[in-house]
Amino acid sequence: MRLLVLEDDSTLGEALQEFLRMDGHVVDWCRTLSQASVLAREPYDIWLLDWNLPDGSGVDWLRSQRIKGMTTAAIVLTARDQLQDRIAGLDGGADDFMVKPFAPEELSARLRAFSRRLAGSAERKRIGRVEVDIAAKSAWLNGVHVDLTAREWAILEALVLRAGRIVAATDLEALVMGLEGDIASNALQVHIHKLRSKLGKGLIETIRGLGYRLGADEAK
Amino acid sequence: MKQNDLMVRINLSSIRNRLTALLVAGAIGLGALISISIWWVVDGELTELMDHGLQESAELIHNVLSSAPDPTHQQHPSRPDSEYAEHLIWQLVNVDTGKVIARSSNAPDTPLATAWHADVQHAVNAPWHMVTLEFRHSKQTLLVVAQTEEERHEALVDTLGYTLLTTLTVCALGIWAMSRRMRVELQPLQQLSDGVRNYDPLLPATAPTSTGRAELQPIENAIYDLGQRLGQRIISEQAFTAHAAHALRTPMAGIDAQLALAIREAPEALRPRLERAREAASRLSRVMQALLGMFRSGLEPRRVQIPLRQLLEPLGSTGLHLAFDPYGQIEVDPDLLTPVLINLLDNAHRHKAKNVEITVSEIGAMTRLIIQDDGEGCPTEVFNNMREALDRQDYGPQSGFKGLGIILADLVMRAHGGRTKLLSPASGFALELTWPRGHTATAS
Repeated sequence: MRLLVLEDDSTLGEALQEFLRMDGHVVDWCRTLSQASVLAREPYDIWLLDWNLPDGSGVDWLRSQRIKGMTTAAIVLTARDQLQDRIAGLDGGADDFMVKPFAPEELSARLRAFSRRLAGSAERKRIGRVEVDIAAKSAWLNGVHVDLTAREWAILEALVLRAGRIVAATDLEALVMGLEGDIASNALQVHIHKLRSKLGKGLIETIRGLGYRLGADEAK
Repeated sequence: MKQNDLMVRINLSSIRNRLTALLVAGAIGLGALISISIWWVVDGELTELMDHGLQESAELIHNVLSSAPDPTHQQHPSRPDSEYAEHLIWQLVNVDTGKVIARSSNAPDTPLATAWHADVQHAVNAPWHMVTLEFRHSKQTLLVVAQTEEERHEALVDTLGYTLLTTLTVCALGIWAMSRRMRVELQPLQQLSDGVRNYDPLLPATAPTSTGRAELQPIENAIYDLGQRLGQRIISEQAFTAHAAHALRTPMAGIDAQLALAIREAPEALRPRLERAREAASRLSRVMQALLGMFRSGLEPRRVQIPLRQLLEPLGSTGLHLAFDPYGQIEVDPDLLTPVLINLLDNAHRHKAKNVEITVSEIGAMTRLIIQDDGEGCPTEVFNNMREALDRQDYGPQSGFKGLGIILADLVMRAHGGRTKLLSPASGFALELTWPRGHTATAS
């Protein structure tokens, strides 16, 4: 998944970014709300927000994003541990709430739970002959496990989480590479070609001029 | 809390009762004094009045008898029975012979006096009070008019009795009226007491309203000032806690995340060392949370009905096996109880426990939570010291407490109106937390 971490503490922010990257996520990290407002235009699966930030309240910012119609899932990471804080955070538009200090492993587990929920399945998701376990980051073709690279998995995960929707090529690039991506212009096509060769040509459908979609026939 | 206990245990005297007792004693004393004074005055005045009346009556009888043709030659020495009650009697005595020559129907046959006296006299050997008068034309005849001592005594006793009764009645009515008035006058104290009980220093609108009594105004001002200072103190502590929470929790989260990352990236040989460092950081984190909890435990708990599972499941990462009723519910401030449970489970883990059983039960209006582990327990002497220290609320260095867990549990329980008790299981260590139900503030 592509994650945006909004955390002003560099020790925590940097560690979270690296830890979650090692879990296979594409993670962008920013420290202020003004940076987050720019990045919020990018496609993200989940925002991880601190409450107290140098230029304002993360929950207030989240509320304003919700008013604008942004539906990206959000987890508030905060030092505030009171009941009314949790209520205020959830009422402000957060989907989950984690009180610092927390174990990054628990955050990873919650992200896996989120990804399962976003994929619309508690366990494995079947797309034609292909089975995908988002939490385990594994895929099977006709019941046989298929090894995927990190990039290939990221593309497959981004499309599975948006099953039935067309994902613009630029968005897919952003979801897979993040802000730090230095991908060659045809790299995405190359990874998609490899995915098709591993999991079947019909898995990813190209919609000319618009982007990609999980294969409609396969998805049935 | 200890002062409250004392107030409950000791039967304190009531101002109203004390004043009423004082009034009753005063009224009885005053009534007696008034009665004695009245008796002393009335005795003299009444005696004089009765003597004067006796003298006047004697003179009147003397005049009547003097107008008779010859009072000394009565046909009937004894008059027939009077048709009236005779309170006065009279005799005509012949001073030469010493015999009664005429008398009223109730008068004795023997003469009460045989010689004239100017003043009112007591009869010799007879209970009579008498006046003697001579006749100008018959010097040997003496008129004796008398009244019984009993009659005079009865008049005095009646006067004194009614005076005493009236005085005591007036005093009793006064006491009753004063007692009622006292109750009314002491109402402002009760009003002030209720106001203080309902005063939340964080809500200025709940400050006790003025009772309208000048004597209570300084107390009201002092209570208001105290509330203001307390409220400000709480606000400062809350602000400090919030700052401290942010200042401590975020770096702790950063340290833990960095260590988690380092454990992943480190060579296999280095991982145990990093894991120990992470465990130490985790303990430091729990201590920090306990301290923040202690800061909050002086505040009013915000109780909610919460499933036990929701409280305990997030704490299951300590390597302990937790056994509890998955459907159990408790009414508690979860923000206060969570750090308590974290610390108690940490204690159990450090004392080599593998299993912790947590049971919830309801005893009357109380909720009871027992946390029992199968660890090594603690030495009897330390256990006894801790048990006594808990009773005394003594958390000092001599108390025997090694960590924050039990102290925090006791502070949080007392904030809930409850208490903490060390149990004596056959093995391991057990702690009982009890607190009253029925104070849920919010439900979410």
